[in-house]
Amino acid sequence: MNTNHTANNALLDIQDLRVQFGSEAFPFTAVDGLDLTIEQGEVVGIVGESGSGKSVTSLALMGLIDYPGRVTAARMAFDGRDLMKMKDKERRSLLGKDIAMIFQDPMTSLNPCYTVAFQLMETLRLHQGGSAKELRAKALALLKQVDIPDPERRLDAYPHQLSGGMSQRVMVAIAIACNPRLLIADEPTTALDVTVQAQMLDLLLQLQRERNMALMLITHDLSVVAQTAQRVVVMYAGQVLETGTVPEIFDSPKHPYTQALLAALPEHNLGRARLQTIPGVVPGLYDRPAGCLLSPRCAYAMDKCRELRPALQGPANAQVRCHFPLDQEGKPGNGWQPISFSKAIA
Amino acid sequence: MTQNTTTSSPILLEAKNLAKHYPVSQGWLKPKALARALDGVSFALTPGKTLAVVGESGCGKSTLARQITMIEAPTSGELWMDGINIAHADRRTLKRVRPLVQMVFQNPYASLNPRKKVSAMLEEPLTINTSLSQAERADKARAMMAKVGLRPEHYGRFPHMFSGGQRQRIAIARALMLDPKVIVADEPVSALDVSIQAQVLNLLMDLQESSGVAYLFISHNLSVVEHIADEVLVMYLGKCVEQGSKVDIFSRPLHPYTKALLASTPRIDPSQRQQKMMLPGELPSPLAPPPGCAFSNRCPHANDHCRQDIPALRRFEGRLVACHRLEEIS
Repeated sequence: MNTNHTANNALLDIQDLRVQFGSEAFPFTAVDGLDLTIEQGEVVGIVGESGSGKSVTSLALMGLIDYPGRVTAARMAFDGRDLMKMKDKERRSLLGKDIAMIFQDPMTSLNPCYTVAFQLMETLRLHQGGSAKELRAKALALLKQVDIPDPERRLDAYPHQLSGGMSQRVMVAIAIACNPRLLIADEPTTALDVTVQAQMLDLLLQLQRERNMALMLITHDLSVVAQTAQRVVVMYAGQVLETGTVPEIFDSPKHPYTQALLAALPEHNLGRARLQTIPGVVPGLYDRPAGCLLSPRCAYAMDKCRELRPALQGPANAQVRCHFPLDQEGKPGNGWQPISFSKAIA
Repeated sequence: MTQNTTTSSPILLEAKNLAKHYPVSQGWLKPKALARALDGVSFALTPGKTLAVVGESGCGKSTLARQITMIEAPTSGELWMDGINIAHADRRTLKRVRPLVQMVFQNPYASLNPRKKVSAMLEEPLTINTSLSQAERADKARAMMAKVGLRPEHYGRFPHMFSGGQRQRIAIARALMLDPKVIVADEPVSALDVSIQAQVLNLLMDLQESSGVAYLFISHNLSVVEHIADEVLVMYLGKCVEQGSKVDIFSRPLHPYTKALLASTPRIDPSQRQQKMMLPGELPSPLAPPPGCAFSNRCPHANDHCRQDIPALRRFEGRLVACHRLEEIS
């Protein structure tokens, strides 16, 4: 697919997003040159370990990064309008209406001082207006849509009277109140139990289909993404390592990190005594390698990997950031030679 | 648990009908309600084996851990360890038995004291429970650090200098310092990333192989349980609903709740995904459990009998299951 063509039609088009924290002289780059396009009605999963920059990306998109954090981007367009060049007031009118977000922990993201009805009506009042009676009726309809049992009674409940799953449903109701075209869900099910997680994912997908919303699903759980998303973006230490469709990524990953991550899952090690592991940890502020960020942990790393940081290459929907991307059989290609590697270690 | 395993190998710790009820205040002059957090759970731990306790939040997993580690005394039931019923033992007996059961907590960022060095944390149990000299304690701590994969230079460091996986290694080392027979691991990997989770699970299994420690492994992540457990105990609202060997339970779950749990677990491989069985609603409040079977209000197979009579745990096809309609639905 042609990159320019998709960029023009895409609902969300982010190019070269960079988020930095700390001092100007010695910044920590939490997100480093991220490109992301999401089409209308698409479910995109963003996966990565903690510290990979997936949550910071969504916060930057919502304009929630405060000083001393710095957000720069070549382009951050929603529906053809650049969010970076917009006036604050104009941007606020988009947020919560066309772009809505669900946060990780439902228990802390609702305001404990206000009732469910108040918090639902607040969003509606801000973006749509209307009399209190109308707003309340709309709020009730929303609670029904997210399958909250006994919605009339729940309207006047305070967040502490709701269970975790119920609070997350209220969060979803607030998010979809103004018919958003893009819904960002940042770890929407991490704090929930498995049976409730299944209900929640089902609800999100059902709403996404009914309203033809785009859904950006941020999670560390690979199996959640495999089951819900159409396209996957794999992040590591602030960079995109690989993009592709769900079958591509999960059946024949091109990046060694994706391959190792999938191999480390208990469900891929059935019958084996030991799990396969990725040695080491995600690099922090002080130990970023000069070359490929994965090079200290990568099983296939060579001298080139340790010296030269690879660029994201490949067609728009199947990019990979690796000098030696894996082939169909899961072996590194592009002239990679295992013999020289073992000699280097010896 | 099958009859064979309980008789063939020595039992380290045995719980019989263990129960813990918490009185809950409902307001001034109102009678106190009783939350049956743990309501008659029985199991046995044998050396070198792992019993996984599975269930959603609020099902009594952590209450169970508090009874086993002797943090609280159970309301009723027996807890046999070392030939003593420790459920109602006196303080001196407890002091003698306590080192045999140690615990690894869920969040390594919260379970390590930020003001203590690794050395102090590892040596503290020895200072309290043994009469070893300073040098001997240091030697033991260093040996344990090597065992769990920490480097010697980590000895004098503070917790904030470690990553999550390393912290969990410290927590595991601390639990192992007194050579316990049983380790209660309360969600030991759920706060860790996938790549780190695999390292810690491997470490736990290696340690079990070398020392023969028994694990009571509490988790809600079924794919982790499937990897590490020998036996599985599925809990719902303080009661055991199904208990059996891992192979039996994962290959053919019998209780509708176990089935739903397995069906709700997201899987990467489409062929492993089971037919969807969506459970309506959430765990009922332990203060007002439904009459009859606690699962009846969410169960797709529930009938009037289920809503009136509490099903007893009974033996069925080599495992224990609590369900009235087993024969019809299995």
